[in-house]
Amino acid sequence: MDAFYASVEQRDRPELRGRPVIVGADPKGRGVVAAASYEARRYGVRSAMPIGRAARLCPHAAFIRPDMEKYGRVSAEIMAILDTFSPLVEAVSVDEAFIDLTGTDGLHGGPLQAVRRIKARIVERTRLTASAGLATNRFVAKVASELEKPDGLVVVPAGHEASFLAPLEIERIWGVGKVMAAELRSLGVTTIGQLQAYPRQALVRRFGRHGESLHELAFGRDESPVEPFAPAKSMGAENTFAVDCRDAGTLATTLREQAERVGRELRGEHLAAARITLKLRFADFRTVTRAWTGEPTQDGLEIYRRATALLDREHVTEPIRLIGLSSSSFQPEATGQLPLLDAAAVRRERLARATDALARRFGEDTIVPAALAQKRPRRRGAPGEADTV
Amino acid sequence: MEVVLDRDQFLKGLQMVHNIVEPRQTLPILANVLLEAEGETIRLTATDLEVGARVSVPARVASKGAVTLSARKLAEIVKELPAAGLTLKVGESAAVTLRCAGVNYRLVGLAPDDFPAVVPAAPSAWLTLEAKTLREMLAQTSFAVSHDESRFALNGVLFVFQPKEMRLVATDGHRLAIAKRGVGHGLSGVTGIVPRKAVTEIMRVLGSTEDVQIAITENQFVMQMPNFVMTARLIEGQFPNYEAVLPKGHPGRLAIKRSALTAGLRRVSVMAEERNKPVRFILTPGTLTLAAASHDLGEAEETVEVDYAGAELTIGFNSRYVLDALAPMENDDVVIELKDSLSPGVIKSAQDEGYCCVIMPMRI
Repeated sequence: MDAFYASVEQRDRPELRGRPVIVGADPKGRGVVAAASYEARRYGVRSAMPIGRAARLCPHAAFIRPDMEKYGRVSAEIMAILDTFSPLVEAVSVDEAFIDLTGTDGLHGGPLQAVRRIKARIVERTRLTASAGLATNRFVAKVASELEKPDGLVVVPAGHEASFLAPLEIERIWGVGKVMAAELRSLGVTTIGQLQAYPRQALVRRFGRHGESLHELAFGRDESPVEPFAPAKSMGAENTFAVDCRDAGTLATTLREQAERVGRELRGEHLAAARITLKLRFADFRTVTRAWTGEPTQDGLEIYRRATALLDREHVTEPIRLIGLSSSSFQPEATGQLPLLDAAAVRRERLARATDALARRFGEDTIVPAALAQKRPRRRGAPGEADTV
Repeated sequence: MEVVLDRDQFLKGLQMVHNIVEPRQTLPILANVLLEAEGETIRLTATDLEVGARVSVPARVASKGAVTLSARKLAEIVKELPAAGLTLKVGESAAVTLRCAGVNYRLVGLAPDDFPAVVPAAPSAWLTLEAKTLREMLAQTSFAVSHDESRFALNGVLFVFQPKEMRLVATDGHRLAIAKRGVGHGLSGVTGIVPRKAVTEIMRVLGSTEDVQIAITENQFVMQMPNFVMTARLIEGQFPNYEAVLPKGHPGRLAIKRSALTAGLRRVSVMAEERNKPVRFILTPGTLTLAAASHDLGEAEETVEVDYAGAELTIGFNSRYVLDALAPMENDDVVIELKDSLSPGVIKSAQDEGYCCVIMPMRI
């Protein structure tokens, strides 16, 4: 979808149309941009940019706090439209999906015809525009979809994947972030075409297994299937502090709240996570992540305990801008090892079931651990006046 | 400094200390071993600031002095040298010449001044015991030490000294192992958690014959043997109340041959799911059936005749935990005490009162 959150807001509030709209955290605070309308993008505003910077670039924009519930509803409408075109639809985020149109020619008169119809149907039902890429695999389709936003449609015919990709920058490739892009540039590789010319063996020597996939993707070869029910691979929470934080108590409370939230989310999905990752961002934007894998858990207190152990090991002395934790390496719940020493764990498990039920009925803040009870300045804030997006 | 010593003795000494050195170092000097020549010995010292070890090797000291050299490189070099006399000579700015039977090395050393001191505490009393006993007790407990760094109090073996008895205890939160031995002259009421690394090193350096002396002070574990001393900073923190975890009076009692159970578990667990290798123990009077299944692989089952007269019961265990518990036993007669599928199982040797392992079951 094109500038999804911002477009939804512009659709629902006519006074915002034609104006720069930025959906995200409080512009006086320190969160990030969740979405920017095309009018705002002209000023250089991008999603995931610190909101303060966006406010400086485009001070006259309409700043709007995100309404995730509404976007979720619109997203469900769009996914439902896709579902009528193929059984193989993989939603990768609230506003992005892959659809496998193989074998649907008889129904929709060829893939291009189908994509045109999908786009028209989305406009008709939701009054929002989508950009599409049509290609022989997921990777090339995704790259194609990004090239002519908004309301784009880019087709890459079979056999033309490599020549289509060749002029594009290497950052377009999956898994090439800032660090790897810089490393590739140091090898004289700035476009995907140059990457195609780079010997495969040299890439493997330099980047290991990753080098192999770089080489494959450079030529537009991607075998990964469209997976309709791809389960989540991680669940997490993070908070940016209103003022860089060096108070151990605030850090602990923030982690505790995040752990409880993640625990609840895990229990909601009947999953337990073996890997807990702590993320820290310092005032200079240097970001570190530390992870530890252990017995699978869905217990908020246990997740908190592991995250604080990771934090303690870092011996942080600098102020912290952002703290977060995430859980991954999922397994089905309640299959694991019973604890010998933590007799209270089974009791907490029962307690969590009860509090989850209350939270579902009356809202997330209905019942919280005592450690979090005092730090509740407002209903939907995070501890320490942090902003959550 | 200039010394002449025997290559074999030098190598033996180096091998007793060089494992203490951590492969990755924050301080360059911690990658080194300290060599100090005086009197009729050369002393080798290594430390990672938590665990330290020092060994004395006989040497002819032409001129006394000290230097530090890369522990790993020195061990590599001496290992490859022929068995002969070896000369070490320190020149200007810690440059070391090593000569042995026509082989010459020039090694870049570091001055000894910054090497952190390894200072064994002076305990008020030592406990003397056979090296063999200590090694056996560590083998019966060290496998249960936790690797979970967030539970640091479990990252070591608890030593408990009592007037007539010594106990070692280790647990990772899923299982707990205890080794007990009577001692003639014990120490009363002293406890300390000895870190895993020190435990590994102790087991490595202990010979089977001689006596060792051990002691625990307020913050240090010390072990000494002739010409050797090891120190380890005790882990601070509260070790769990292990006695509360020990089940008392489980009604079910299963007697089985250790070899039969070990072989059966190895065979059946091949088909168990990868991570925790859960194996079901299905008990009926007179028989034990071990069973494992995995969605992707298939299943396995093995029935063994056992001495069991209790109620029918199915309980799941991580097969690795059970195998770990069986491994350090000396005899072939094993007793497993059980209550129900959610209560811990107790694995003991039928003859050896001094060892038991408590294992919490898995949900099945």
